[in-house]
Amino acid sequence: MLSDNRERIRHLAFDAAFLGLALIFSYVEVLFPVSMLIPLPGFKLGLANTIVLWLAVNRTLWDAGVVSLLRVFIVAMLFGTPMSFWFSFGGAAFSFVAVVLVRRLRIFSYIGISTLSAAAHNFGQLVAASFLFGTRTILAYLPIMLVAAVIFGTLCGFLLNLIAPRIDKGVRT
Amino acid sequence: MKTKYTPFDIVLLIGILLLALLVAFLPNLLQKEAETLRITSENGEEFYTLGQAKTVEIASHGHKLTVQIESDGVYVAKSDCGDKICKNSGKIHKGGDVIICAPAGVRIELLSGKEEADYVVG
Repeated sequence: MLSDNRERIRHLAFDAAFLGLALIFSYVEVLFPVSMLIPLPGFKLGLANTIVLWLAVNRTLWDAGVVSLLRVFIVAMLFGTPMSFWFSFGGAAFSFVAVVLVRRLRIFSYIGISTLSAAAHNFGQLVAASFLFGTRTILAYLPIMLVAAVIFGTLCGFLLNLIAPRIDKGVRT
Repeated sequence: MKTKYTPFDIVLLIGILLLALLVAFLPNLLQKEAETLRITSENGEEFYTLGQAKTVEIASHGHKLTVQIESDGVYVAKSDCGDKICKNSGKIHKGGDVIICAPAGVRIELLSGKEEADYVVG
């Protein structure tokens, strides 16, 4: 019983630490937006999503979902607006569904799962925007958003491919 | 999860890029050649069939517009409204294309089918 409780507390602390890490990644992206390097407004690298992906693959969907949802709430409160909350919520929800569908497939590396997640995220954002603005014409942005998802998703997946084996070695989950 | 890229990763990347291309060009592929012109103004709706060159004068809400119909499209040749957005919209030629002149309350729209016309003038 005691050890069961300890296990739970360890689990909670572990997820909290990962939520903190995801928030720091979000903050880094606020401080150094992609638009500093390339003149495209509104695009993000998606570093915080790497944390959620790692959790979804290596822990349970429950861990990944809770961390993702809390991160969306906290980031909206810290840096965002009610509008930006719905954008990221739509993105996170679609992205999460995509990850649920492919996480057990053995055919992809992190690059595949990250790109798919990014594409679903961008699509979800556009769906949220269509609802908020009450127009379907926003979906005209879909092609450029999908291309951006491939570029940034591949970058994040590449990072995860490098880092995940080291986390597996270093973290006793 | 594998931590080295797999062939399926590449297939997925290419698939998403192809999807982006498809989504980008689908509206153009679906758009049909226009057959009918509908002009909505203060005086209601008027329909014209395309094909022959024709000049249409419209008076609406105190403004005068000259719409030029040509074999390859429709444009506003002259307008006495202030902002000239209708004139600067250029020539439209595909079904679904629209020119709006807000001050005059005029909507110039190309329709891809003939069935929507109640009656045809000219």
